[in-house]
Amino acid sequence: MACRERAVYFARVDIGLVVNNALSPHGGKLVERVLNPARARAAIQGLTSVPIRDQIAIECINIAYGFFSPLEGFMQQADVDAVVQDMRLAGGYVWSIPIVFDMSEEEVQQWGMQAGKTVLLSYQNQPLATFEIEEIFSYDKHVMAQHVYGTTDERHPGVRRTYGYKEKFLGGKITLVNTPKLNPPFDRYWYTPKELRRTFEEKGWRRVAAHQSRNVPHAGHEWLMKGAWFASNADAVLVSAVIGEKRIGDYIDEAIVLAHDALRKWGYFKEGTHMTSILLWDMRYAGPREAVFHALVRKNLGCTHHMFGRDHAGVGSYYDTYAAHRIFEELPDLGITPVRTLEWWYCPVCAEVTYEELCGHRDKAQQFSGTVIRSILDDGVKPPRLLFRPEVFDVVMGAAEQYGSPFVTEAYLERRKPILSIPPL
Amino acid sequence: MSEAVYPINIWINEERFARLQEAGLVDMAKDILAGMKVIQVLASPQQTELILEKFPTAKCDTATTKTIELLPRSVKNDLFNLVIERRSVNIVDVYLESLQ
Repeated sequence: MACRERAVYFARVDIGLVVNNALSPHGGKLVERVLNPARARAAIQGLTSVPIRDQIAIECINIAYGFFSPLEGFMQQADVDAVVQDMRLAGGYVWSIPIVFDMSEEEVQQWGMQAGKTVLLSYQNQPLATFEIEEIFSYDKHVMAQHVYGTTDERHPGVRRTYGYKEKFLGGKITLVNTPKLNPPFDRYWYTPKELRRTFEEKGWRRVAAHQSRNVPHAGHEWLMKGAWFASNADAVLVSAVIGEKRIGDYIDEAIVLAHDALRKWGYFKEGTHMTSILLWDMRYAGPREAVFHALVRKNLGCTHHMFGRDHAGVGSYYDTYAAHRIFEELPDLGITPVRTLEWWYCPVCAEVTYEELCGHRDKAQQFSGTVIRSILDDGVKPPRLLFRPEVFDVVMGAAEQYGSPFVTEAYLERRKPILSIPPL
Repeated sequence: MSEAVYPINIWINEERFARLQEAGLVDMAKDILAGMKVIQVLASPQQTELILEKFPTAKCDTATTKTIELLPRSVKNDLFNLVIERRSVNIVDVYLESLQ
């Protein structure tokens, strides 16, 4: 492209004229790169089989099923640079988290990875996806960390993940050649974007508010969802529980999905107004940038709204409490409406869980959080039903009985059954 | 860590309540959340840092409740035992000494 044309092109990208970020799915088309078994068996013949780790495997699955539309594979350098520097893909669509495939120089040599070659990615010793390598490149990880996380502090888990990437990145298209089997209890809550969109249509849901969760729901979460349902004039709430890498002390994933579904099952959300699903993803804790990412993924699922409470996707004190609310003001219409909520607290005067902007008894407010509720449960105290539904408590106690604790422990990590299995092709 | 003092919350379960009753210390427990009672043990900023360093699963909930939560139950049991024994919530220094 000539110099003047490039200047005009990027100016148009800058003011969002070239692409329409409001399209749903993001980019205008739901990516689906999945081969049926017969075509898959043919496609993998003669390919070098390269084993991959958990993160790469779930991102292959997400890419192939369209969770990350418009991405069709792991990012090439132009996309990584545009995402890091400008929170855009090279083509102009908003995107906030680099999706990368990393390898050491040694591994690149060992497996004969080179641009123009297609390899077979294997996981759990089974074929998972083909990878059409288009580019192998390096990228400054400090620059990546600073821009994506706003810090280079290695205590930030996302920064630590970034610094842990090996020295080379490989970009190229991914095609799933094998269907992952989600293990119970997750199988009931696993929907691809295509399946979820079909489900919404079958249920007659035109407005769906997404609730992102990594926690067993307390009443604050429940009212966050109900408040967002009202604010969105929604047909339903979709709980999109993030299932992925866990930290010691987190709720176990089994407890999270079953507890959320208990709210529907026991009528705290009328049948037809609530649904639980899972999203396979290792949290980056990127605060506002991750809030944007979450919004785009849930748009790809067919959601029209996404609720954001306090400190969404944050960790420690790296991000201002409501930074994830404000970032959307800097962006064009993303085709999914952020529903921003402040605090819910327990008020002894109102005698209910109530909202910061409605309750006139701030001086009497009794605040609570997921951390406090976990602490209370850990101390063997059953919270009152106003704060924590008894059926949710029963799910948590059931998880304690079945897994030793409702919270992640070393023992749980050693003994847990994988969330998904890759069957033989 | 700022100069703010964050209480360590020891939530009162049935067993702890019985022990408070037995010791005549029920009034020491505060109702701070929807009728749930807690013994709040105060730690200075320096003591808080030591405790959080020693027990990394614990968390200082600076965003919402401004309390220290998620200490291991055994630690809270030890702190609670000291409260009963000394009939006081000013026991963190004694506890930290016992760890050395």
